Amino acid sequence: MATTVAVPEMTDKSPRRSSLLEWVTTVDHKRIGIMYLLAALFFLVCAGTEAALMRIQLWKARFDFLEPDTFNQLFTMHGTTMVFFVGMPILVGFGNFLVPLMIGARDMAFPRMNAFGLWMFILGGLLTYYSFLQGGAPDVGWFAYAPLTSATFSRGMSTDYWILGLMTSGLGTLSGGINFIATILTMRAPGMTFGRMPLFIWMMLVDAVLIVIAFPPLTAAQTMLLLDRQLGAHFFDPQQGGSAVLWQHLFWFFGHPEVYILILPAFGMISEIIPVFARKVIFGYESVAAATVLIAFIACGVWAHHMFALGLSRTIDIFFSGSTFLIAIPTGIKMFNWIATLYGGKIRFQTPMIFCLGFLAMFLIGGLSGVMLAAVPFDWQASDTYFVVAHFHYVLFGGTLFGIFGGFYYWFPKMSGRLMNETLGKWNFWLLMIGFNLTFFPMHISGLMGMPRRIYTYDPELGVDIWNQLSTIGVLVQAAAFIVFAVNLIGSLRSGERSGDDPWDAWTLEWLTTSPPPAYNFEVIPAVRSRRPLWDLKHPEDPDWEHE
Amino acid sequence: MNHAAALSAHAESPHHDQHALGGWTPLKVGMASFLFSEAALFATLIVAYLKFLGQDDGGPTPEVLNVGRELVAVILLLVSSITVQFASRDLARGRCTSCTVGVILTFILTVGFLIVTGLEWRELIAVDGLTINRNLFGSSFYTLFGFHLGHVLAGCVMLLIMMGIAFSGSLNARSSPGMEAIAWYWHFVNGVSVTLFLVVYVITR
Repeated sequence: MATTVAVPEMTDKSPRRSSLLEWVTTVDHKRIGIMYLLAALFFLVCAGTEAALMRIQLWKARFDFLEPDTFNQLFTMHGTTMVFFVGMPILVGFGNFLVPLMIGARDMAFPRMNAFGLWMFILGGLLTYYSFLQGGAPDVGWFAYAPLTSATFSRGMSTDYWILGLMTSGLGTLSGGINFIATILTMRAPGMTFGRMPLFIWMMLVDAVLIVIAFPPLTAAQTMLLLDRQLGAHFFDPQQGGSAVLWQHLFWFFGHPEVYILILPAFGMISEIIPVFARKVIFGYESVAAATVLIAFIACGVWAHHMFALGLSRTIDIFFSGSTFLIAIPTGIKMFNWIATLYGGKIRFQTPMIFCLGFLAMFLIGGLSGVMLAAVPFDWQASDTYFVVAHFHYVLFGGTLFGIFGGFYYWFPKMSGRLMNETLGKWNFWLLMIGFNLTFFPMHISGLMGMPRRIYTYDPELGVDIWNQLSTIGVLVQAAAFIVFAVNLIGSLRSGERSGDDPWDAWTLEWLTTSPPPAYNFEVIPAVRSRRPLWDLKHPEDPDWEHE
Repeated sequence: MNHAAALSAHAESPHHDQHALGGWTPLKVGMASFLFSEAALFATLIVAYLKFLGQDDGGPTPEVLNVGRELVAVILLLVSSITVQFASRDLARGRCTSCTVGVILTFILTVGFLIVTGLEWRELIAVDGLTINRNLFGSSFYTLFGFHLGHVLAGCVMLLIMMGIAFSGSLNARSSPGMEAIAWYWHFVNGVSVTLFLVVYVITR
């Protein structure tokens, strides 16, 4: 262990060009992570295009830019794609790239299963999109309520493609979750106790546990649906005594933990980025980790708040309303932790940091409208309106996607050895911030005025034209932001400023190795004595472990 | 790379391996997590079965199930759990021949289970007319037991792979750490079969 081999300096040499075959056949967690990110960005373009087409259709009342049937396909594919083929793969991709580096390991626990997960995700995505060539995409909404999905109402193969595509990619996600758990529990560097793991690792661990709990019920429910459609079983067919409500229970038993699966890694990212750019340790490390575990626990008991409008029963409504209010507490604890970390810090307003600040502001709005929707009487009024659309976009776009952008700007140097352009980064942020709010804030208003979601058009008498037009203009601004991001990504990859190993003066282990890291990650597996091993190295006169 | 060198010095520190989880290798943790997800899967299917119990408008009910025959099937699987455990233990102790014998015995017992289940299903389908699209009981019964059967078949594939390794002469504890994981999987699948027997054939019938 302690024998150090003299290794030639390899800081500023560009990585050897490698062939496509090497990438396709790789089991290296870093390359798999990067391929997850690239594939997810491809699907992001698909889903963004679908959203833009819907916004054009909603430009004015009784507009006939799209057929109603096409509109149904677009919102189904937009939701399905964003959740299963963009959100999760990007987070799993970051997790893949970062987890072994952050815990001081040479790879994931099961490298081949890791590659299996990536290709299952890509296959699942392509299978779902292949439906477009087979007579039309799924048009039953991303939560695919029965009996709309029955063979009677959903003719053709589109719903079957939806089922099989999600089952396939779900298998990949599950294998990824198992891999993260095994890696984090057994492969940490010497000295990295649970109390010293970076918070991103904590969140990925809890995230993986949620994946392992939540995905099998979805697979089971989708199998039942497939049997209903293909073999004439009666699970979700009320005509034959089946239960459409059971589908809703099973779907949301998966679906609500799923939204925490989508947000927790983003929480983890900003918990890494904010301290580095505020030049302070995270405030209340233990409470952030504990709040994460608590969120995961409560997240498994809130699913029926998606079903208030169903009229289950008073007792059930009160229980799920209460548990939903409860989950705001650990989430609030984290908000205070991040803000307290900022307080008194020497904040560097670089692009990764401003995305994190954007995250705090936007996620707060989404969280507050979530608390509003947790109240059953309010939910009855707002259910299935654009208010709900606004709410979950503030959480998943303003939250997860802002966090992901912060993550891209922060870890791009580690992946490529080059910095992303700061000026373009600032443009990226402000265009996205303005475009995002212009799109989604008016939806709160149009929703409360009674505009239903998932309907291809609206009445002029409703008086929501102006709010819809603001939303559509917002999409244009967002498109500009995404183009700036793409230009920045490609331009920086080619000719960005060399970053060196540790451009942000950070404290976690991934910045110890070269940028990009060698295939084996570390010449010597580092030993860890505190939560900020790199700080200890840079400041031997004042190491953290004397204080922790 | 001075940083790495400096860090490596700490490797000798008393904090070394503080986090180690006993004998929990990545393989064991991975298998345990996988089985945890499997438990969630079967729990969902059992909930669906119970939800639809007695909701049928017509067709066969659980009364048509043959308890005695299913009990034989479950006992066959339970015995195979013992043989697979012996196989796993023998391999860990370096007794490769007796491990191979254990694996083969497990496989034979499993084939016995498959035959008994086949007889049960044949009677259900041919005599009682219970199919997956007949009524809700049929839908949920075949889905629940079909998933279990799929897991047994997957276990058969694992056993066949172990036999292939054994017959090619390369079986030893170092190169086949998977044997213990297979035993875990097998115990889980058999635990599920006991659970299903109790829930479907005994408690709610």
